[in-house]
Amino acid sequence: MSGLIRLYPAAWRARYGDEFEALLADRPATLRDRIDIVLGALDARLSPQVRSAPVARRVGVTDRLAGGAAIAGGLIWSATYLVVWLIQAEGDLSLPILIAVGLMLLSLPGTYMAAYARPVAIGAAAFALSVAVLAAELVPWSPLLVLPVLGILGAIGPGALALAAARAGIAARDRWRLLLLTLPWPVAGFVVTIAGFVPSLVPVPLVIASFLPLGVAWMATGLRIARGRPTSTIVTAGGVA
Amino acid sequence: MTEPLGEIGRFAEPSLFILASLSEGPKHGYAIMADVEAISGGHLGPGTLYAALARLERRGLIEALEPEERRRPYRLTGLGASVLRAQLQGLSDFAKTGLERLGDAR
Repeated sequence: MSGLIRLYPAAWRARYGDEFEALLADRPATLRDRIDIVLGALDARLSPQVRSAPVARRVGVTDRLAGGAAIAGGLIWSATYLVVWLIQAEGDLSLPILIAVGLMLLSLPGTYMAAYARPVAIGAAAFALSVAVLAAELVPWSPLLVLPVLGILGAIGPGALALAAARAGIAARDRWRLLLLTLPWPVAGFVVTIAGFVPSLVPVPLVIASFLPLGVAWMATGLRIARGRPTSTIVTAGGVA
Repeated sequence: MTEPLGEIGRFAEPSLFILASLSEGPKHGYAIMADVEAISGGHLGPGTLYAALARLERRGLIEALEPEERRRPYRLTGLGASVLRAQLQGLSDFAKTGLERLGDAR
């Protein structure tokens, strides 16, 4: 039944979700009720009676650290690929990329999502997995193990980040922004790994075209966070903000 | 005074039943639903109930009280009582006129 409640907008769920679930616990829904709930959710989306409004929030040390780390990570990430593209540099790029990935992975989950994810355990798990991914990158894996180990960690870690972003207590627009930043990681990790082993399969311009926007997006998000956004939300009870 | 319900559209009828139910005192969702079904003899789904409650609350015809555990009671406001009275008076006049005409036709 909770699946049907999820059809309602977040602001509606924040205002009526608890009592609606209590009602359904008192009177289990029939098929007719389920159809009625689906139509009610559709109505709540088409004619919203409850809206959430952004609330100005004090910018704290957490926000500045998270924002700063995201900006630095995105900057190093973008600059590395840009330098490769401009001067056709060849050599070991693993260190700057590793630093960039580390900063980016630790910034949002470590200092931001962990503080705003609901429940907190999801944010903490995302942080722990991010650290694990970072640590695994530092281990000199044998070629036979590197793909499966880093591939699995590279999928689980960003998956946890995406989950933490999805459950973060922030405005819906910012939640989507964080999801878009975290979801490409498994793909990015896979492409980098393949490029490392078989460079001819992944041309450098394609890698740059794929990864530059990601770094820029992280910088933009870091700036937004450092300036006090994403915002938390309040729900206007019985009125429209 | 009847406008607040008129602009509710297709939720006007369940809204009227909800106002009538709350006229005897505060009730939470399940109690409203059971009472409305007893009054009307029809079915009131949870989606329709909360679509109507949200509209009534937004228009200031009902207000939410502090929740008791997870169940939040609602009560009629002064404006809600006035609107309900006007609606019922209108229905009463309509019923009276209709019955009189029906009597004349016989």
